[in-house]
Amino acid sequence: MKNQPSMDERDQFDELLEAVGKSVEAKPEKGWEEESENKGQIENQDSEKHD
Amino acid sequence: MKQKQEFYAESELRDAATRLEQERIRRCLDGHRPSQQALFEAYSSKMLGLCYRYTGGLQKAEELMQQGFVEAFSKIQLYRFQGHFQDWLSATMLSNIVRWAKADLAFEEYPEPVLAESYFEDIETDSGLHSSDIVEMIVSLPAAYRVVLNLYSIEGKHHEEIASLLRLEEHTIRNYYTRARMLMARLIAAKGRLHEIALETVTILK
Repeated sequence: MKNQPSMDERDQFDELLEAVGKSVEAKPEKGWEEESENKGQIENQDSEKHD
Repeated sequence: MKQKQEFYAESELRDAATRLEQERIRRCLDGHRPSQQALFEAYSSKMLGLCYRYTGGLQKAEELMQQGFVEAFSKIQLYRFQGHFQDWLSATMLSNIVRWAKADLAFEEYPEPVLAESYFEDIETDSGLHSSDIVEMIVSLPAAYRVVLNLYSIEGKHHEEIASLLRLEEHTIRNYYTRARMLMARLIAAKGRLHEIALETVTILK
């Protein structure tokens, strides 16, 4: 067993995960316009129901 | 001399990009859709990557990301142009992710601590690993383990802060982290050597 850092001490493992994790990217399926237009339609439908 | 000119040219480009972004943010204060769209296009891949690390699935990740952007644009007046906009946006996404985790994930209380001997398992083996392998390992963890590992190792939050965010006991968070780390150690040991990983942007393909 190697020298063990304390439970709160970040080590190479955490640093590696941080570097890898922050590099993750993914292309969304929907764009903002499409999404916000859908939201607008839903909101309009909701307000029509209330009317 | 040429290097100096290139340096100043790059610096001017960066300044111009920053000014353009700040102008877009100001326009978003009035709900300007093209500016919202431009900011969405600039940051959605990174924000979806962030959400995916927590959800482990792209559909839920995209749902959380869209909610996060809606929230960010609705309170964009809180961004004070101090620090990078991406950091402020990431923090907004993270608040949304934490709300989802608290509402939808089952966190068990672990009264017994994990044995200290197994806490730092040796995670070196003989073959190489890629960043994408590590990401796949993270997203394959049980959801609650994955959330705690993300918050501690990747976001750099302390156990105490995570406990407060998720409204759990601190020792429970430590146990989740330890168990997540042990699982990761096993997965890494089965696949490769930690210090040989070449870092690159990991693009998740559908």
